[in-house]
Amino acid sequence: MANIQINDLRKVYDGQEVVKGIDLEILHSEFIALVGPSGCGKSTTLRMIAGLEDITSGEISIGDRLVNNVAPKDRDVAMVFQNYALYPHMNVYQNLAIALSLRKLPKEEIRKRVEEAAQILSIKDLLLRRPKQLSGGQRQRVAMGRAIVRNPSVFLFDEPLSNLDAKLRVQMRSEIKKIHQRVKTTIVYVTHDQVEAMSLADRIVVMNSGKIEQVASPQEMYDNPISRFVAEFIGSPSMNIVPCKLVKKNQDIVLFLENELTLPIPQDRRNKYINYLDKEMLLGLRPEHITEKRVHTHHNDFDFSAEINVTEPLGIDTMVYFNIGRNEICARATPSSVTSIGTRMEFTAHLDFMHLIDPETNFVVQ
Amino acid sequence: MTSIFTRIYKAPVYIYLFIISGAVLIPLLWVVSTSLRLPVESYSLPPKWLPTDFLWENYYEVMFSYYLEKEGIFLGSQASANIPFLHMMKNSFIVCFFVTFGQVFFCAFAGYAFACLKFPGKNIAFWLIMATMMIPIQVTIIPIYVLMFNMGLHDTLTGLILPAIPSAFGTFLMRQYYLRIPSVLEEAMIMDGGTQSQVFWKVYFPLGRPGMIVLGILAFNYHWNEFFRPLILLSTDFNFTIPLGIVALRDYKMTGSVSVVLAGIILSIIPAFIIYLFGQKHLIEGLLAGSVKG
Amino acid sequence: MIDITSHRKSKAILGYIFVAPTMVGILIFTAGPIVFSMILSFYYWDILSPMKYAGLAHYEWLSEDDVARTVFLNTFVFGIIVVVLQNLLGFSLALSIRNIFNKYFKFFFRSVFFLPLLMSGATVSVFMAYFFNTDFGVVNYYLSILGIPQIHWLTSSDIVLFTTAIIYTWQHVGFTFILFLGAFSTLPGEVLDAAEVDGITGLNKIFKIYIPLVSPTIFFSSVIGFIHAVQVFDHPYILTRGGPGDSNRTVVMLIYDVAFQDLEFGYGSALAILLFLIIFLATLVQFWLQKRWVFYD
Repeated sequence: MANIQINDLRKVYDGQEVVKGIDLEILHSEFIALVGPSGCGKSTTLRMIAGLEDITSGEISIGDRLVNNVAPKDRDVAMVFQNYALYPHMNVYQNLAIALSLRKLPKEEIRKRVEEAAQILSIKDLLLRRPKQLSGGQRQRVAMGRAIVRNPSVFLFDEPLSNLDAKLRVQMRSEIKKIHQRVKTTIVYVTHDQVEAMSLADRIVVMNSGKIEQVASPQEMYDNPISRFVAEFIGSPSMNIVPCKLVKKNQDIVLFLENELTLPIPQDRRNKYINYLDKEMLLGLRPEHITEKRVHTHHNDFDFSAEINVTEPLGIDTMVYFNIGRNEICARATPSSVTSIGTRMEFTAHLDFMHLIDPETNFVVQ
Repeated sequence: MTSIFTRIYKAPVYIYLFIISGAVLIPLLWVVSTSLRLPVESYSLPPKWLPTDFLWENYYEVMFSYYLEKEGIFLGSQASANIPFLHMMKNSFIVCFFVTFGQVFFCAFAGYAFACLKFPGKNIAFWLIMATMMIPIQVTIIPIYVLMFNMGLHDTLTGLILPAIPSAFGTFLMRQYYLRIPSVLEEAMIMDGGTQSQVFWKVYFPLGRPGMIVLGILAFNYHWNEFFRPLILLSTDFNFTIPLGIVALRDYKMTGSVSVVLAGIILSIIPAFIIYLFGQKHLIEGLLAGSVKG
Repeated sequence: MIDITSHRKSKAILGYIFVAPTMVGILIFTAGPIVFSMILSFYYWDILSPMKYAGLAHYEWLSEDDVARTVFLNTFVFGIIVVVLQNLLGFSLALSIRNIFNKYFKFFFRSVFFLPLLMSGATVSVFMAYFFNTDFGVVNYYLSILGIPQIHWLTSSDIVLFTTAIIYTWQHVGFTFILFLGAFSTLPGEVLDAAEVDGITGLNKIFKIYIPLVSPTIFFSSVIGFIHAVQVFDHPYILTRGGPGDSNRTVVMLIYDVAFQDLEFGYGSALAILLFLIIFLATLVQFWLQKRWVFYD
């Protein structure tokens, strides 16, 4: 259980800067997720922590020890790879044991640790099999077992669930979470799936084009995204983003949308938003905060109607798509309330949860 | 993916690679520079590594002394005058030309047939051909010699060329290339009203070109450098191919004119080298692609 | 509407036409000769006079003749040396190339190692003979500067076979090199990374990871390499004509002498058949052994 300190980390690869100065502190025993789209630098960062990539500049410390020039095997980290990376010519037992036997641990100790890990991951009866005889899920467990037996200070996960089918992924997610609760090792987990990150991590690091956009707990990130990128990236389906303008109306400020809809602003935000009067801005509101017309429970619930384009029944909710001006908006409604395509439906927008985004900086107005 | 830790190994790795490169290049360098020295100095020690004399006369002598002697002009040492070098060059080119094109085309046909066509007896025929790949040439050389002798083709280039054209290896190579072409292309052409023959000429033949280039280079190179078969099947100087010529040149010469022999060697390497340069990209790709798991 | 049967027929006809030249050629120049060779090995024949039945005479002679025994032994030893050297060099060179990242150097080394393959075994032997000449050769000259006594590379019956093996390997190392380059490029990068993180590095990595994972290639290169090496003719013939004595004589050289110098085509055929059988057997043994050490995915 070690902490990790990353200072101004940069990586240049083939003339391109792929990691552009990252600062991050990971507390010991913390489960931190690095999320972002392909190419954002999350895997590269992870590999630099592991020691599989050279550091162009900056520092990485594990457990208060500078590890820039330390070999991967001496950093006391274990890694779980996307394609499992099991040694194909060794059976499961050997895969689990190899790292330990190279460190000259006594045989009984090795056996004990391997069986313990096998127990935790329910792979005890697979010990004599070869990787090619295992299913994807089983291989992933072995990969995790290989990390667990080493009892390292840090676990590194590089998109470990990407190659599994959806159901298996959900299952493995809870297994990983249980392991973390049991073993309490620091975990750095890379994924492009924000749902995975949200459900697993203590804190999430959203990365974009080599930089960190925001670091926060899942809930915090959901409630208070700092930038447009984070706002759209977290949450599925993505937050609705609509061009708007703040205008004065009868002593008050309101939001004026393209299609002539005028929305009230939460009172507590007036003072912040007043600086953006008459500017082209963006309104952000998550689909779950636009529902069928409901009794107003919040100050800033706003009713409106629109013609339905498409519906997507999900069982528990139905996603409803309609237009505001040229923008397609997504709302989340109770299935029974949804009318048919082409008809007009009544909605309530829960504007307490709105975000105002400055299109020049792409930051959310705090 | 780089890592600082493989960098630690880099210095000894580079040293090793340079040493082996040296082992490869040094003899060649010696050949080149000695070929440009005065014949009498070719064996003088210490060996000079960089050519200082640039005696192109050696090359001139190797190529022309035979012909000039006929006219009464004597060049350098006598021995190279016994070697009709240019004839031998021509012979090598003729043999390689016909063998290469013969192999490339006929193996393309057969390869395509085995890859894409269906006919009774196809499997037996294919495995028969594959089995013959295992036969070392020494088993067949005696009967082939006898056959050529009886056909009156011994000591002719034709006798050298004909047996070399059917190639099991070439057929195998082309078949592998054609197998990689998606069959949807054939289906599309058939739908468009094409005949089977058109499918081959308009689709597979053009797409299989990389395979033909690889085969062509390998065939050219192999037959340009071949020694054993020509040694057996050819007996007059005039019909010799280059490798035989070089060895004959060496045998005629005493140690005093090594440089002339080396000049001949350099001359013999150049055409093979040029052909290689033309198609090398395809060659390396082809070899890498085929060399995977056994 | 496409007529299926006529389509199938046209495919078959085209198939026969396309296969015919190669098929006929193989029958005439390979399959036929093999059979003829086997038959010929039971006869005395010098191509000028009629064939005389010999039964097993040639094979009996083979089992007793000292020259034949030496020659087969030489060839076998040569094959082993060459395969070992080629594999060691090819493997280590390919692995080394994988560890350098400067693309100019990579290109340079790859080209250099491949170069000797473009040359004729004959021409290589000619200049290597000069190079390794005991009195005037470059190698011995530099050895003498280092104080090492002259080595009789091509004139000592103890060493000459080994020298020939070195020269042959010099020329052929590019083959195994390319083979292993290809094999290494197909290794899953993640497994190699996992090894680094797990602590399987350096020599351990080579023996526990690289070698097992490319063992099919090692097998392939050994089989093919042995088959080719055992058929060697050009190098020993041109370097020393087999001498001193028979210490550098190989099976194919003996076949050449016997058949084309002494005109004993029957005996020559017997030798060739025996060589073929030995190659075949050695290959079978290798295939049988592979179960022990070759790892397939």
